[in-house]
Amino acid sequence: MDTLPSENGEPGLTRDLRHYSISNTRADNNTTNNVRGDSDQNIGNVLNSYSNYTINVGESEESLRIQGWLSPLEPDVRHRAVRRWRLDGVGDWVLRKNEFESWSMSQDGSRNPTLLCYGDQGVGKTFIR
Amino acid sequence: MLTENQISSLVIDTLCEQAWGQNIAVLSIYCDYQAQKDQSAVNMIGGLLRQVAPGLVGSVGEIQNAFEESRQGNGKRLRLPEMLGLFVKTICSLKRVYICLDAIDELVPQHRSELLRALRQIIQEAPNTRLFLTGRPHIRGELDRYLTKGAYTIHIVPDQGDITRYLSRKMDDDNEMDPDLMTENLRNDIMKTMLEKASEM
Repeated sequence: MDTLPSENGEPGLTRDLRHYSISNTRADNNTTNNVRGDSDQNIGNVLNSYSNYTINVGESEESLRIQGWLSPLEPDVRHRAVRRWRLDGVGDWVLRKNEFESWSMSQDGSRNPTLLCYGDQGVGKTFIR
Repeated sequence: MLTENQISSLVIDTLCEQAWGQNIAVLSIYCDYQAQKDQSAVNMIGGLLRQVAPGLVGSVGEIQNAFEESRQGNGKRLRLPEMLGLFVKTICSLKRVYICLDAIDELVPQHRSELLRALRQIIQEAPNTRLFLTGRPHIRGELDRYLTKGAYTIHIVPDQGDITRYLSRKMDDDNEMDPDLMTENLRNDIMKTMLEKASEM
């Protein structure tokens, strides 16, 4: 188990790595890199118990207070749940669509910045339960 | 369930992977009938904002300042216009920001129209924003009115590979409960029937 160095930096949100690790990476080695990459900031007690899968980041009370003040929603919880359930390969065809590529790579100000995916009733949620 | 939210989670993870090492944020929320009360426009924008990572250049100071100001005042939460202002200020220095909202039809209509207006404002004020939305077709008219006219669209239809993967998993799960009941023949029958049904839809 590694403990990352804690150096002086800005207090508060700079300590919040929990979301950083969740929302900006998928591969767990990336998560590791992420945490390490930020170690020049004050990240408090970061416990890397990542025998590949878990990262426990000690969050400052201040950072939690700011997050709670911004919103009572905790979007990362749901994302982790959905991701855990996802089957390998499901939906890969969406990523291969031209629309996806054009949208994700489009330059600022060109065309519409929105990609809408819609599924018929009975094909998405209610299909094969 | 073979759901759009699996597609959303795949898109979110893929974008995160592409964003790796760049000054790019990927922010996401899954809308949910069961959370309708909490998923107001202001809470949604705040919920996106709280995901902006501290490691992204210039993204954090603004939030901290606003929090301090609020604390020195009466500690009130931000209202929607203030939250929007803070959001745009926070993200405008990033190279790109992906906002992913799953199942937007599951929001209360009033919250949804407020949110769509808010998203329109974000797109106008922060051209580095890219928006990914999933939803049922019945709200397409509404979406088009606010922001998706001329947008890229993909119709989500599970392909045969998706269905086969899903069924295999389900049958494996069932099989663990009582291995004697699921014969190879039964398994093949179920697979064949379901695929036929799916192709009729």
